[in-house]
Amino acid sequence: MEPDANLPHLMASELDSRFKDEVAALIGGLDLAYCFQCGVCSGSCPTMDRMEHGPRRIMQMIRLGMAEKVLRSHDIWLCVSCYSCAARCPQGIEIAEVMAALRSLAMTKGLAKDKEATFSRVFVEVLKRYGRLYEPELLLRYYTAEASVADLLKQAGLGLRMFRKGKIALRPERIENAEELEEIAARIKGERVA
Amino acid sequence: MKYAYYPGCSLHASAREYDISWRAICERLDIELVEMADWSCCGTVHATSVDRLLALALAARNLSIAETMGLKIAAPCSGCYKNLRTAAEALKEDGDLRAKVNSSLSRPFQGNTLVKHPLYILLEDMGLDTLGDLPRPLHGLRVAPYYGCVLTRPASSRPVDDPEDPQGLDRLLQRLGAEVVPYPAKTKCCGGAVLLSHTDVALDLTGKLLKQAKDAGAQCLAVACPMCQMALDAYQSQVERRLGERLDLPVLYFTQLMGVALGIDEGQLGLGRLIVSPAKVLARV
Repeated sequence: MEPDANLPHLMASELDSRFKDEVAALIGGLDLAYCFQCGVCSGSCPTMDRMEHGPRRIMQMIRLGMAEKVLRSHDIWLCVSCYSCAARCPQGIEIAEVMAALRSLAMTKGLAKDKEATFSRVFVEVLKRYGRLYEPELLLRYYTAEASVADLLKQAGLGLRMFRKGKIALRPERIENAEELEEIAARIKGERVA
Repeated sequence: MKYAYYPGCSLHASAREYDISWRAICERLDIELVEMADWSCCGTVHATSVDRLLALALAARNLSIAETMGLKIAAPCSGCYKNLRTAAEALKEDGDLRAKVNSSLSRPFQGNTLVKHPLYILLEDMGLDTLGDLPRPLHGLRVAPYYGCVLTRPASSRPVDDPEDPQGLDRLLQRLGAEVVPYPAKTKCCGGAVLLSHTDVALDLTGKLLKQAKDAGAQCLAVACPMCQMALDAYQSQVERRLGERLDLPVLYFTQLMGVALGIDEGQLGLGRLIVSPAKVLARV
């Protein structure tokens, strides 16, 4: 097989040999060594044309320990979680789950710099507040966090049409005890540290 | 037949027509739905991106509500369905994970409920042969079935359909008398997961599949997920601008089409809530 000319060139000192285990631990200890770089994942990925590396090279970069490059990559946020890669991987690797694990690691380490990372963070904040999604607040918080008035205005017409069709709730629905979710989140955090 | 009903956030807001039409056909078919008390958001893909363990705990909290009811779960949103189903499978399989997640919950997950999508409740639990004569079969209507991603993926150890070439929706639509239009994109992603953060990516994906369905001769699409429906219906005018082409493809929930075929009054199916009006195509049947 030809070497991958587009693989990032890094010094050995920049590599993190524990990275692959860190990723594997998040998805139940799956052995990433099974990947033989066939590229079926990248060939099946619907957003491959927008990615810098694509899932195949990301898998290789994980194994080589290119932690920071992987976790700062926008590719992991362009994954649309369609599971086409996982459905076709001849080695049975749950590649979409690997991508999700990378997103959560990037979040935890403060390396996530993508609009979708902001959206996910804000989504969970709203979820924990009400126990259910409240779209108007989600959108307001998201566009404020992204300081993206242009994006907001681009979707204003659609928002109005959806409002007229009764597709936007005026008031949030709350579960009986929304604090329960904060408590769950806090206890889960404790579990992870333990 | 009786189910613990998990509507999910969309069916209480943007996709109320899915809730309305699903309840309407259940009433007609003697399927009893008991909405789960105090259900919470499943977290979709976003919670998993933030914290996988938290996402599993959120799913387990909901699963345990159905367990106290002693019922199987009916989850019409493919995103919720996938989250609840895969969480139940993962937690049943992995004792350590289950212990970790359960230690965060006030009511532990036991592992004795089953998560079902309404499409497969109709196909497997009810069976299409029990439908009998249809008051208003969808004869002459050319429908493109759209499955999206997570209705059939990731593959389960007990799969209900083929992950990449499913037939369930095709079979239902045929039974309703519709002409099913084959097109390659029926399980390709609509980009719903990044619809708000990377809108241009989602518009590319929806554009490709709407165009394919249109070119294959479809008059409308049948969907089984509120996120897919939103991307394909509400964003269709933006797709049309990008393609420089008029599509005018109504995107109906399969429950709405089934309601029409069962002769349920159109006013009870939430058809007026769709952005691209289905009035013209439904006038044919």
